[in-house]
Amino acid sequence: MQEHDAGKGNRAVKHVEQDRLLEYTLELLDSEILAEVEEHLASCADCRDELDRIRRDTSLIEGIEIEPPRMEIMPPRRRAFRWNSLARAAALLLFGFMTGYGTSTFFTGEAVRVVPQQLLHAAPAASIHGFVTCESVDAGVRLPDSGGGTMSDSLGKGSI
Amino acid sequence: MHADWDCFDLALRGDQSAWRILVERHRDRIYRMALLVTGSPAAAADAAQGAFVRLLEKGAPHQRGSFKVYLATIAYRLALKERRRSNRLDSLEGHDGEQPTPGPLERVIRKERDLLIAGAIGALPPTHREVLVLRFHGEMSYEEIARVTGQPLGTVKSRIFHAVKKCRSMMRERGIAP
Repeated sequence: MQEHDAGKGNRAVKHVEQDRLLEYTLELLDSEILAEVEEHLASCADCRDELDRIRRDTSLIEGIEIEPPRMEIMPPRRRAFRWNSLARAAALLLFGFMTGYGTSTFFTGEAVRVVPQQLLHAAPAASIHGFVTCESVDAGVRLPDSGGGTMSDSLGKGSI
Repeated sequence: MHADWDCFDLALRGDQSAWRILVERHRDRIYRMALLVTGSPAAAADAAQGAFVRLLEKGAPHQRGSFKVYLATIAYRLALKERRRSNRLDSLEGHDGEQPTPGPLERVIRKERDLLIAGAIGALPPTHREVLVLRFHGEMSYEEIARVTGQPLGTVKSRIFHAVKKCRSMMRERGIAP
């Protein structure tokens, strides 16, 4: 509190300092001082007038009127964007799948299958003088341990 | 009337009328705040628009407090960036001694009194001005200002006090306040 001369009676009256009133307006006071100030304000018209002036100034600072220019603030497109992204991702996956499928099926010929054939047991041609006997084993041919033979040996055996 | 977060949720789901309501409700305040931080109508418009765009990009925060404060924080940070950018441009362009185009603020502040007050706010030291703008135009509490600016609460309270005191003093000098 600050002491002021109250006038003709020379009676010193304590008023609230201007800075303290500004702190009061800005809600900066702790509860103890706040209670003191409020008690004084309740009984002092001068301090209430000063407080009104401070409040008027702060409301002027707060209430500046500004005409904002036209601003292009785009509306939200998040949802559309999400669906578009999803559609794009699906299209990309489909394209990838089709491309992979196409290259694996359409651009390569029929798969070559090697099927072991049952060798026919037949007599060799008369012009062959020597031959080896063998037996068919799956897709390959295994030569017997014993070597070749003559025409007469071929009867009843597989031959080439 | 939808609350701000409700409007925002609707807007995120593509409701354009909810978005318009939200923009109409906050645009002026955000622009005014950006203008007082940057001091330039063009930079303020960029910051305000950017704030709404960023708002959509960021979506809703995990902990929803005040929508006003959330948006004001985004706008404040963008306004600071715009101010730094325009300061850089000014220093790059240099000053050739000619007076700049008179009063860009006059285009957006029509009332003489408000123009003078804006000038007084603009003349405050940046740290004081920011606290004042966040308090009066960003509608933030002191705790929120401390969080946004990264300053201790005591510093924020001291700055707001000196900012308003200085501003009132300048207003009296300019004949605005008795």
